[in-house]
Amino acid sequence: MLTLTGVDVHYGRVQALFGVSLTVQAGEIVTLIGCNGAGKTTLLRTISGLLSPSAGEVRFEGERIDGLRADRVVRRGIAHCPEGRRIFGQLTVRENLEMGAYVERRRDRVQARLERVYGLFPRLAEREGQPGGTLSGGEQQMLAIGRALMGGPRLLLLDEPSLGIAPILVQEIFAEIRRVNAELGTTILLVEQNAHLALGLAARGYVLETGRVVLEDECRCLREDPQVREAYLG
Amino acid sequence: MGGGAPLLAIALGPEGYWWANLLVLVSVYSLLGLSLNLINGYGRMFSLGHHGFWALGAYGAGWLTVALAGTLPGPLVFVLSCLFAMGVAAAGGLVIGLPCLRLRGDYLAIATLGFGEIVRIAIQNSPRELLGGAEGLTVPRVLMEVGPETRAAYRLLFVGLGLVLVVLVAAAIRNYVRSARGRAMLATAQDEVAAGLLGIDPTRSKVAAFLMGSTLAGLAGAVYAHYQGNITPLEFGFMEMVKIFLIVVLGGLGSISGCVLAAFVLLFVEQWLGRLPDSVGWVKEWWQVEYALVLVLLMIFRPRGLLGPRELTDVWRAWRGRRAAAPGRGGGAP
Ligand SMILES: Nc1ncnc2c1ncn2[C@@H]1O[C@H](COP(=O)(O)OP(=O)(O)OP(=O)(O)O)[C@@H](O)[C@H]1O
Ligand SMILES: [Mg+2]
Repeated sequence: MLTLTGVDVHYGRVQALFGVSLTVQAGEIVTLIGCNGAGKTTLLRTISGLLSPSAGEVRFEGERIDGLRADRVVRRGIAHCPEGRRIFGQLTVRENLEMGAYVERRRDRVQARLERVYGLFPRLAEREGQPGGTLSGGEQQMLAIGRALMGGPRLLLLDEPSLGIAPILVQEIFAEIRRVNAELGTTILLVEQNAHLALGLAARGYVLETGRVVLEDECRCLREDPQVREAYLG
Repeated sequence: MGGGAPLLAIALGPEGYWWANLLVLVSVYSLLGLSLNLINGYGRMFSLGHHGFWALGAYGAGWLTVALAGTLPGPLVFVLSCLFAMGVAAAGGLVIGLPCLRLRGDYLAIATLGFGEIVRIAIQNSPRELLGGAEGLTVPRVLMEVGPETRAAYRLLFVGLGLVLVVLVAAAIRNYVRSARGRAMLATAQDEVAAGLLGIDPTRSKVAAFLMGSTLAGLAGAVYAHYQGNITPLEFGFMEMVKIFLIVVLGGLGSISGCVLAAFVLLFVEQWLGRLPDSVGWVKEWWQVEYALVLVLLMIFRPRGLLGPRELTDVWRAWRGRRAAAPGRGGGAP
């Protein structure tokens, strides 16, 4: 479904990704783990069109999407739920969700998705009219995921959904991510620093170190890998 | 209307005459405030060139009216000149907006500031046959003859016209902000990257808001030019920008009713001071300084405006709610 081959990305003169190759099959949950500054966010930003690679290619469902602007990539069916959530603080919960369906012109579909998101995250339904900025961190994360789902994506990119959120809420959010994958059939590429959680949820994983993929395997193998255990699960 | 006009003047009296003038100016500045609000309030861009778009509109309308007066029916010339004014201001908005809006924040402020000054200086140095140069441009009266007896009627006509335009523009802005595109603009203003990730083209969104704002400033210019009958470049100086911005900030960035109220208060004070005798002329000068001072203080302490994005009805409801929630004065604790 998604393939990256030999992707290099630069910020000005600084190179952040070195020949990254990665594949995600339809229906999978794949995770990408790595330390601070490894280049995880950079990789997601490259897929969603916020950055364009200086070498290599990105293909989605067979077509090249590298070089497309972000607002074009969304229309192909990729939703990027960004690091730090970035919800619209002054719009209400409902308005935030409706913004997520900006590219969808059919009211009935928007309504159906809204109900689905409220079904996944009942807390959002309760807070429908509240400004997004007044939600707790965990609720904001739910809103960010819900907003990304409103576009009806086939591939969902999640950037550290556990960041700065209480452990109990993190459990809840991860359970919902699993449900999104199982019930809606949405393919998921999950970036996490919390390797315990990520390797528990995903089927396959990649380990990124200083801009390079250093390991790639099924998660149950990664969990047993001595290097991974020491560096990320220790 | 002819026979009734002198009667109107008498009925209006000098006080009524003063109020009519005030109301016309309030509607012109409300249009300016509302349109700047689209850019600086809802759009959260920082334009300092609104007086430039206003001048473009005024001079655009004036120029076309001079060219067409007498050849076409008056009301038609009026309408055409308004449309032309909007077109000229929009073209100005496109020229300055397109290159800057791709860049971030401060460039726009600097470029628009320069733009406003360039417009004024260009008009000042224009050939007299074209735009009247420094001496000003006389705009032929196309809506009705204006003589000593009909001046009051002319003012009243513009009171009505101004009111209608303010209501129409306010309603249009309100609808826009609630539409999908309007929401997209608000979202872009809050977080460009997040908006882009949802499929919104941030540049397009910003350019749209900027263009709408400059176009409407052009409309305000057309009304102003027809009302005054004579316009000079000095009337469109940077001080006017400060005034318009102050109206937007006082009214609350992103509040429609607040903006109109602020325009009223500001112009009322200004016009009232204008009636003071010359012996206390320092008050007027001091007031001009005050504008800038109040603006700076507001930007520091209430950067989202005095009332923020709330409408007056929201404030009223909140106030009533608080009063209802507060314990009655007479009764002790239960
Ligand atoms: N806008 C930028 N300009 C320049 N360098 C950047 C920029 N953003 C990221 N970098 C650099 O690129 C590298 C990868 O950053 P990235 O944000 O992708 O890491 P990450 O794996 O997401 O880290 P974290 O887990 O802390 O979010 C880092 O060395 C970072 O300093
Ligand atoms: Mg990151």
